[in-house]
Amino acid sequence: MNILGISAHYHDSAAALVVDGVPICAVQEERLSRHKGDAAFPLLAIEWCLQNARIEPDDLDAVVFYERPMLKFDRVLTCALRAFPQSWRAFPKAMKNLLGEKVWMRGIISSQLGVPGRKVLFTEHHQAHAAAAFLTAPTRRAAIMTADAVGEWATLSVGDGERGSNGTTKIRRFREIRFPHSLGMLYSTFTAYLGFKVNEDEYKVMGLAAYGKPTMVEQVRKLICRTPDGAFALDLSYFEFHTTAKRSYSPRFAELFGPPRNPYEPIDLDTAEGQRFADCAASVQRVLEDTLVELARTLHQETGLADLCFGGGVALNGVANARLLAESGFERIFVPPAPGDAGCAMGAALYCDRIHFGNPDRDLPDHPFWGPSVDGSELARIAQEDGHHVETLRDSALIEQTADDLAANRIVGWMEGALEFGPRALGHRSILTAPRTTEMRDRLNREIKYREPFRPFAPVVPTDVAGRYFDIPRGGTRLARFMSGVFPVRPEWKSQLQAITHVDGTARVQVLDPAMAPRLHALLEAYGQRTGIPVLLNTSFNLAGEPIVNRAVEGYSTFLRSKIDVLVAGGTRVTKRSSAVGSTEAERIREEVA
Amino acid sequence: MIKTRGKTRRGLIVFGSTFGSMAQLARGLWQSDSDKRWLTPLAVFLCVTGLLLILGTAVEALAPFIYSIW
Repeated sequence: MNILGISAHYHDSAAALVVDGVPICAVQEERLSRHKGDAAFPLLAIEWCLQNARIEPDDLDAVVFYERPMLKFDRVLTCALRAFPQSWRAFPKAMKNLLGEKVWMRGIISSQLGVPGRKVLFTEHHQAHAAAAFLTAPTRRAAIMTADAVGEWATLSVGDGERGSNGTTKIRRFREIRFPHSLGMLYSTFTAYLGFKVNEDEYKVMGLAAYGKPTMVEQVRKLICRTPDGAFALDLSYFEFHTTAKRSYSPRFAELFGPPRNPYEPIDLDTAEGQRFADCAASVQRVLEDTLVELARTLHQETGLADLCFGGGVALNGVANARLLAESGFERIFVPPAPGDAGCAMGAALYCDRIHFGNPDRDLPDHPFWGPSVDGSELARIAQEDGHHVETLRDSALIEQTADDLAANRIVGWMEGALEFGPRALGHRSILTAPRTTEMRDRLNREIKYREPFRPFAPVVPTDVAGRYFDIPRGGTRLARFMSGVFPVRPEWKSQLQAITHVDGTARVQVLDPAMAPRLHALLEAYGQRTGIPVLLNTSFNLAGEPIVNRAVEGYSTFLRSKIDVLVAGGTRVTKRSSAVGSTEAERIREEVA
Repeated sequence: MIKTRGKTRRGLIVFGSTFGSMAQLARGLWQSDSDKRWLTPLAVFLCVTGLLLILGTAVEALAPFIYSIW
């Protein structure tokens, strides 16, 4: 049975293909269209999925959209009427936006793919999140929590899931919190207030939070209060996201927290104003964590289960995830590599397979690499045409050579195998470098990533030695598999891991199993042999404002436009004409390091 | 390989599918337990408006007539 899952029209559209109950491929539209956060109908992603699986649209048994557009329309209409007269300006725009296209998804999918309308199915948004979190996790029974800005009506849901021994799958929802009361919207409102892009830059608020003190927690708690039934409610007088598309917060919000940040002015943490923004970020982060922990603790007491599967955009908050693990009572927390809306494409397809069609449960591959593969020969061809130094090496030689480069403080663009599905670069499209000094962090920020200095970089470390360098609690390894948890760097290693140690002494660490990315694992070991510390700085292979690279040519373009020293794709290694490092030079470095 | 269809053809397919979606919405609102029956006529009216928008976009020859409604 061939099932295509689609997420689109909000942000980060994607397609995923499930064949006979197992995902075959999945990719975000932005990786192919090269428009960051592309929300368009993911025609390129669908086309690639079908081509990759060698099937035609006629061969699809179902195409599943990740939300119910009519239910969303119901929500928009109801909320607009509730908020009248404040909503009168936004109402025509919202209606035109929805009714001009988005609500007619059955027809749009049918017209774009040529599949009959009866094959087009819908899941609820949070069902898709729940399925993406639970059905991809290696657990038989788990509590499920999903939290994001908003789906149709739900903004947060709790329930449980069970994969029975007879092959049946159950996903139950106990209860949900509905729009406009939303943890995601609360966090996004602060994202907007702090001058960052909503739905894109929430991670910057998390990074900034480490520089501040939660001195405004009491003010934030005025915005969100707990209700007697264990849920929460926002005080809507502080918000405007439910009445207008122009601004998320009301004048009352600005009265409470002070003037908002001008997005065009950098945050100077040495000034009182900069520190106020950092304190704001720290305060909302604290309230978000506290609320999630309380909700999860209740869910744990209710289900008595050891595992929690956590999905939705809020699950990208690694600091909150680590606190959930430490304080909620759950022993393991599973966050999928794509917990946001893109991952709903896969969730919707899996939900349809297991629940709608009742197909038997399958164990799924536990990795994030579902996208197009990189072609090293393509890189060799274009780099040779441009006269750069190109080598095609065997695996072992390439790893030794790259370890030499890294040990000599070179910055390496690393592309191998299939592209990651989700926002994190987990070792197949990464920029790798030595994690030792703050100079390296500053160089990366200044010369390659062109980003705010307060944002941290993440490390990657082999699973078996992760505990030596990072204080990873029991169950934390699972969270760190897809870089979903933030854990302390052990004090004795901080001075040698300066580039990846955030200001609060933590790191969003990725622990790597050899089975998941064998070449990167071998590279870590080779680098460890040279330097004594098998830890590398691993950041996504892209420049500011661009999506993560997909094909070799995109990696090559990024390599040329930045100060990346070495580019590796498959078995091909490229160095720039001006800085080509020949084998003699590599030997000298090896000697130096030894 | 996905077959590329013309804009008009795609628009007409979307148009043809709208009636089922509208009926689904109306049924959902009518049967909703949160007493939203009163919303049904407004929702259907808005959907018909959206439907005209689609028709206007898909069949450009009709656009002047449709836009003249407003």
